[in-house]
Amino acid sequence: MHSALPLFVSECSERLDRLETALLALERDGCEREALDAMFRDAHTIKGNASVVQSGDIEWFAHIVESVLERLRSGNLQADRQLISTLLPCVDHLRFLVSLATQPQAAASVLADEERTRLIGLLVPYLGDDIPQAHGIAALQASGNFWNISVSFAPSVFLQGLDPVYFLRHLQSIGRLIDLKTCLDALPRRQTYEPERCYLGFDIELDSVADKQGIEDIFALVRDACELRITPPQDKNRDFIRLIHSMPAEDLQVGEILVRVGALTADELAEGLRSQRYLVGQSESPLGKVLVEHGFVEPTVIDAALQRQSEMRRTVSQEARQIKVSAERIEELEALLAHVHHGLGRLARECAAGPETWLARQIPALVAQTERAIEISQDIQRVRLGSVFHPLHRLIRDTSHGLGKQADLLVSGGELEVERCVANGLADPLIHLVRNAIDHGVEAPGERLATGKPARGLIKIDAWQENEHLVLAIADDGAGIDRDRVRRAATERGMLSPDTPLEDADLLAMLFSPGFTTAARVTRLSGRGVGLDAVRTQIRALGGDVSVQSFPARGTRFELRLPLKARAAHDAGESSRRHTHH
Amino acid sequence: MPVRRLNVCEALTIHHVHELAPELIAAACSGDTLKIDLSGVERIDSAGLQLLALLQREAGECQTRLEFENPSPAVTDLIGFYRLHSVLEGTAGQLRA
Repeated sequence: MHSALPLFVSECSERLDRLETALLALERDGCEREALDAMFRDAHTIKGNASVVQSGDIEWFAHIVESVLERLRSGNLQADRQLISTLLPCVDHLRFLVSLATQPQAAASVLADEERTRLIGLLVPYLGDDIPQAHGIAALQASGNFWNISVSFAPSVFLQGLDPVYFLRHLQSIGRLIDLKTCLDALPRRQTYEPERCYLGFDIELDSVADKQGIEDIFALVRDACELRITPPQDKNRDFIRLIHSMPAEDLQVGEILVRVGALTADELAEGLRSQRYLVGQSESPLGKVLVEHGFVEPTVIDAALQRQSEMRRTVSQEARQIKVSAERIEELEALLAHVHHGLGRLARECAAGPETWLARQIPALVAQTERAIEISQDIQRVRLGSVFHPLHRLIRDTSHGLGKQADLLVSGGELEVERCVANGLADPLIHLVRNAIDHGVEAPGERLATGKPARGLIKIDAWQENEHLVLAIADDGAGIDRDRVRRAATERGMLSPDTPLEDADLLAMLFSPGFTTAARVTRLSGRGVGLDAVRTQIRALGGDVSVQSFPARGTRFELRLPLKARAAHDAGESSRRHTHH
Repeated sequence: MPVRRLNVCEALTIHHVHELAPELIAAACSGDTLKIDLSGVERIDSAGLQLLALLQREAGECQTRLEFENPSPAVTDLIGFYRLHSVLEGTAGQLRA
């Protein structure tokens, strides 16, 4: 496994979340140049990082997504609902591929292949006919100015079974050959000519939106047996400079910066570094100078990288040093600390029974320090509620589209931090409640307009802290719960006799009974009578509870209330389970 | 002036250039008029094309009138891709000049 994989996975996940949010915003609010640029950069970075960890599938697919985003950015495509509906599953597919990246070879690759084929089918109209082969890169729109590729092949290539024409023709899979000059200058006189040696060189103008690495990859098989210079179009150099200036602050070497933005390939960097080492002692040769001398990078791009590097170093040194650690490692650490704490407790009791010694006096301080360490490790494991809310935006979009409805999500309190297990435990109940809100609450646009409401429904999630509790309110502005239907359904299920008087709150509480549903039909989303019962069970497992209020024609509001501390939640959950068993 | 005719058959590839080159080069440097028929070339690769380019240049040096005749589709395709149409013109242009 590549050592950078864990970092790659966490980076990609963040970028894919951002990309998804941006796509949803694009559909809702329309195009903004900066947002499109940012989306393009995210896709581009995922592609670049995938190439660093040698994950070809992700690199290839990210390239396709990047290509569509590029066409969107350049105005060749409109961000309509259909396109967004195609791109969102592409983001999901990338997430899936990223999740596979850490697993041993191809556990679910068949699934991935099928999904890729399906998505490519959907993308065809947006990319034209030039979907590349899985190892290639998209050939796309004419860009107006061209890559220059100068390549001379080593004499041995013919005997290695490699024909230059193969590589040159392959360039056509990533773009259009504008010009090709065959250079015969190296062809010797007949006296020294050896028919099996190659004397050919080429100067090529290529119109392609592929990146430098993509072009170099075409020559991968013959990379050590050719001299290759790839000079980007002028526009591209401007793009490199722009990308360099928009890179997030990290402590990077100039070479890494150039590779990340695609101005330099990894092989070129390696060659530059080799030359630099060779030159050390002869004269002072900074890498930038060597790269310019080799014709790998334009001086203006080097200058931009140097400038950004010094800015980044300033920023990085100002920021607190942060590292990414997996949750499992911290849980492991916490378990160990708990063990030490327990041991110290026993030691303290043993010592208390004996004579007072130096050791016995040290123990209380050690116990206190261990407790503090446990607290810190618990703090580290806290996550923002925003991470639980994030997927709901997409859920609302997909669900409401599926039902011919329109709805927006407004959240507050995403900055609150909760323990990871609380966040995990909240995910499913929130999904249930939000789906319910759209399926049962929010009315179809025509119906809403007829009753004087805006066509788009609104679902609000507010989270706040009350003493040692976390409270979440999930409210919609839909039709409200139909009491008559609840009563009818409860009567049909024998839970209620028709004329039993019942307080409103008690009637609504029946919604949480196991197997209860008012849905006349089972839809893909609800009606199976597992939703609210499951929500209550899950919230109770976290030591909390759920209540509901509903107002006809004004909407429904669920309130979840649970302890902030997982330990307290766990204990409460245990006691409620014990209570149930009695 | 005697006209010498040569046919190149089937394959003009890395596997055959070693064998074909000596005779073709000798003919190209004979100073005679040389017509090389390429209609039978079913396969050609870059090594073969490189040999044709060398023949053209050496023929020019040796004042040999070289014409390539009836290039097969395989030949015109590769020549076209490499933008080396001038090779197929033989030495006609050079010697006139």
